[in-house]
Amino acid sequence: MKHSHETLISQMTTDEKVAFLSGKALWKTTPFAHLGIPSATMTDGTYGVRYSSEQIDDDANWTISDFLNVVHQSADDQGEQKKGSEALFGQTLPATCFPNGSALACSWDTELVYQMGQALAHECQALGVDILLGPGINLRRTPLSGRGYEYYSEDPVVSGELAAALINGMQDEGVGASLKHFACNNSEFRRTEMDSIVDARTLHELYLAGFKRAIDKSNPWTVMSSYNRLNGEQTSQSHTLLTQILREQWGYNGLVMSDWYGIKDRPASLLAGNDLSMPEVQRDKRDLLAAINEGRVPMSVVDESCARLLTLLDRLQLDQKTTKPTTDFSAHHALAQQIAEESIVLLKNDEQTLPLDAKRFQRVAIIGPGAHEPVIQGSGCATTVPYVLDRPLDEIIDVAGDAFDIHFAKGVGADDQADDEALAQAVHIAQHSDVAVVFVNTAIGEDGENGDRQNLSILAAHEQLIHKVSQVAPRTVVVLSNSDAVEMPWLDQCHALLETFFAGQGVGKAVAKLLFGHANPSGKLTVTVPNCLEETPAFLHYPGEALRHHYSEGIYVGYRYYDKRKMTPRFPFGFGLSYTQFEYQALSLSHTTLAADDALTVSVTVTNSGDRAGKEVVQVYLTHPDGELAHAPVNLKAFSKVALAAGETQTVELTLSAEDFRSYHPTLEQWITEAGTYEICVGAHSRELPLRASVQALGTAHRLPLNVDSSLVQLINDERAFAQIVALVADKSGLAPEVIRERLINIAPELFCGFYIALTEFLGVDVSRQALADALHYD
Amino acid sequence: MQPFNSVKRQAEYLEPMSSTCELIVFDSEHLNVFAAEVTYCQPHWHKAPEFSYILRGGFTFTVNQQEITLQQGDFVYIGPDIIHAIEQSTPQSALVTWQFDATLFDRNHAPVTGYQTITPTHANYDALRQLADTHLAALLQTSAGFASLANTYQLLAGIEQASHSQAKLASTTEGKDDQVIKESIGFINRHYQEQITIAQLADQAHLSYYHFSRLFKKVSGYSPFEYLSMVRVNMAKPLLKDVQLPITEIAQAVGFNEHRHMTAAFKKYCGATPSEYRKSYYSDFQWRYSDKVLESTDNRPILLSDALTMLRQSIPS
Repeated sequence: MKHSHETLISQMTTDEKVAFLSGKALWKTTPFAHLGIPSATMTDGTYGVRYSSEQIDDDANWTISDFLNVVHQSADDQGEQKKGSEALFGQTLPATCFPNGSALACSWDTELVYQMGQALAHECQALGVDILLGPGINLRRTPLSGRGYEYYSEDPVVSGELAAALINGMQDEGVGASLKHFACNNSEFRRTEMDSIVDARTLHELYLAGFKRAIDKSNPWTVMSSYNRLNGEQTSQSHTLLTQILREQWGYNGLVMSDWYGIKDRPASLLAGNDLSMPEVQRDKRDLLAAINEGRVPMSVVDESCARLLTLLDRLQLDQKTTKPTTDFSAHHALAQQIAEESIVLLKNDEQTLPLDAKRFQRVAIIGPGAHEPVIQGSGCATTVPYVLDRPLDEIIDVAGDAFDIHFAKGVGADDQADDEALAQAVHIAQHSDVAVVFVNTAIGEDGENGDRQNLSILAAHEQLIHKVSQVAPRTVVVLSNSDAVEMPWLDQCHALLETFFAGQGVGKAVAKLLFGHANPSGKLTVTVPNCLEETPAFLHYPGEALRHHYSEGIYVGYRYYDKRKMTPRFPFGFGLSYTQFEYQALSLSHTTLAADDALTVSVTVTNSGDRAGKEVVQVYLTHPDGELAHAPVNLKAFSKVALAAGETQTVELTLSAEDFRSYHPTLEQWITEAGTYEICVGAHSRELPLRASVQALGTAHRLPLNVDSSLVQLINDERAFAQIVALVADKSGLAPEVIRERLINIAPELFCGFYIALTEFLGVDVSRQALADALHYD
Repeated sequence: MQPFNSVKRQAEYLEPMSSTCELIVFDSEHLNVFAAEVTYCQPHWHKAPEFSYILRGGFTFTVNQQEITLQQGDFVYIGPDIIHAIEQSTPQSALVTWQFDATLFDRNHAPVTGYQTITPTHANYDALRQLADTHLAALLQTSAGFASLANTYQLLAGIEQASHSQAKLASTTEGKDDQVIKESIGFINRHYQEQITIAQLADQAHLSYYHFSRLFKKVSGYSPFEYLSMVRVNMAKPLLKDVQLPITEIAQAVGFNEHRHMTAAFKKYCGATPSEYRKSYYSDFQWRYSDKVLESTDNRPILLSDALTMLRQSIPS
């Protein structure tokens, strides 16, 4: 504790400390003028800043209904649809609506994500916001998850790397991030009641790994505990999670705050390490005060949390933020366009339909309501009123220029219902076109907070539109807008498919540039696209029963599951096409043998062998040796996005840290590197890894669990224990240790029993269970 | 030019204008005063005489078949029913305009006819500037009544004197020519949504294509095709602010039979594509906020108090 903090805390009464560790109204921390402690303002948004003037500026009038307004905000309420003052004085002030997490991650571009973090910080400062409540990086375990659109990936490496980039961007500009939701809130179904049952290995290797990576690389000033329970404990009240793992094992030194109304027992949450309770709840304050007075919560715990909050306020440098700077919304719009452009994934492009060339496709039919009113974001507390919106149709007309003849038909009726007249119009313009571009999306508002999707379909009327249009149009291109993966029974009906997820306010320009080849697609999937819901990894036990949700697929999350089961998904993890081609060559490794703490440098040359500039996401996967622990066939460990001019070759270097080779042993409760041959696989996506090279890992000096009921084979694997047992048996039998050793090694594969039974019953050694057990000990 | 409080955005704004001349609504002061950054104002005419002062930058006025260049600090008076068009010559140019209601005049006190520029070299310039200053300042005091009306008449008297003291610019208008073009403009204003050809307009005017085009340009400052495009651009603008309407429908609705023509016309008369125009409107919150006082032109209103400050600070060039 800093000396000055110690002094401050010593001047605070218990009442004041309790108030300090609780929010002030909905969005602020509690200030104390007489102690010179200012108030910090925080607000929602994982991809845009939400500022509600009523709730933040006038905090006396906050009510639960305000909060519910936030949670239930629909992407339909984007404000711009409304006119005049409604747009201005709507629920939140306009801000840049960047690509949502599910889209953003497809850029695989940490530099761009860093820039987005900076832009978010500048908008926060312009609005007087000190902490932005993001990013959220819960793994996208099931595509049904309502908040999947905010989260980055089914893989913890992508999630952690991109979150770190965003956090660094924000915090380098002086605005605090809140890494959330910690942890295992991977679906919205009864999200505050459900208990996620996750085995220890899966928890550490998958669900916590992204948080660990982000914290190691960016040290977020705050972490937000989640709404759910995890293995029986409310996460906001879990000492294991918030203190043992987060602080003691990972060394996190920032502040933990609750999700809004996520605390059920305030004294327990403080004891667990949940420093700040948000928002202000009078009952929580009374409970905590009573617990302190009764000695159930020691003052040392209270003081430590106060110190963490004071450290946070120091980091925010609130005294230097007396004026709100202006910010460049136009530049941010350009950035939102650029990120959208680099995030959109080209999933299919038969017969090189794209980019549209006026020589082949002069008459272009633009179809679907999304061309005029794009679905740019999901629904929930992240929903942002966009500062400005690029409409795909408007941008297409601008970008296409004079060479193309553009026609538009909405194709569906009001509220996305099928409508014969609208459909006929769409079919008519498609018939008279050279190519039809159909904009389709998932249901608006169904994705979102506190509710999951019911299925993986796009809207029925939109599916019908693809079907009817593709029957008459010479070529059909589909532009898809969706929260998370969808089933694509219509895929065969289109020649090309652009997957945008929810790509934010710049999506219109980005789509237009990609369609006409003013930009080259470079996004790649960060989730697997399944053929159907029923084959998805979490399908069998989703959404749980009797309030318990078993993560029964274990470590086989996302592509790890499809790979392990040798299933062919619709589109594999990491996949994405370009208008050019890339070739991978000359994989080389810095080491042939790795000591336990060695990092490995992987280098590979990538060539753009096509005729236009493009960007490629180079992906490095690791396969583990066969050992005690089971593994997924491949595991993403590193990636790098490189820009290559036509014909250009670049050597890309990527580093795998010693930690990247580790596995979490659930019995040992520690990270180990298993000795053996690891394969480094490099390529364009998880199912196309043409380059492979091996490295020998010596492994960590861990000792696998061993007792007298372990098999002889297990015993022999533990050299020191084996030597001690051999010595004991030699002593008992009078035979030479070398003879004993050789005989035991020879017979071991045949003896299925534990070695106590094997030695006593089959080999006639007269030794007690206890003596054997004692001989296993060393160190 | 069109005052901002005279034309309200209405549901029927797509309806063709029924009259070629502008409807101007006056309040109890018997005049409209407004200040704005003006990009351009298409050719039009009205009963009310109009008096403008250039607050910033410069404009080209087409009045009575002549082009007049005005700079910051200059005044211009345009009498009743004279066709005039305005176009800024430098970006962000601004002016303040007085429009005088017919009720201010009677048989013995007719408004000055013709048009008149009053530049700093004019003998009455300083006097007029003082009158304009006084008038604006008084207006801001919201003291409606005879004192206020007196100020207005003082200003009219100043204009009258200024036009007496200098040989009045000779009218080159042949009334008949003027009338022909007014009718043609009226036709375009009513039928811009349809496919209008210049030949058709020439026929209606009983003139040859060549003669008609030349006369149109001479009277209005624009070629008939330019004028038609300007009207369509002006009509498309409020529609672009209505985000419910797809851009292709807007092009059709205002008579551009192809989106490419709309894009070209917007680039020429608006300096931006329709899509850029739509976005610039929605990304300018101050502007969006003043939606109520905006109509179909791009003109950005300036508070009268600010206009008075600008008038006092503006140095004649």
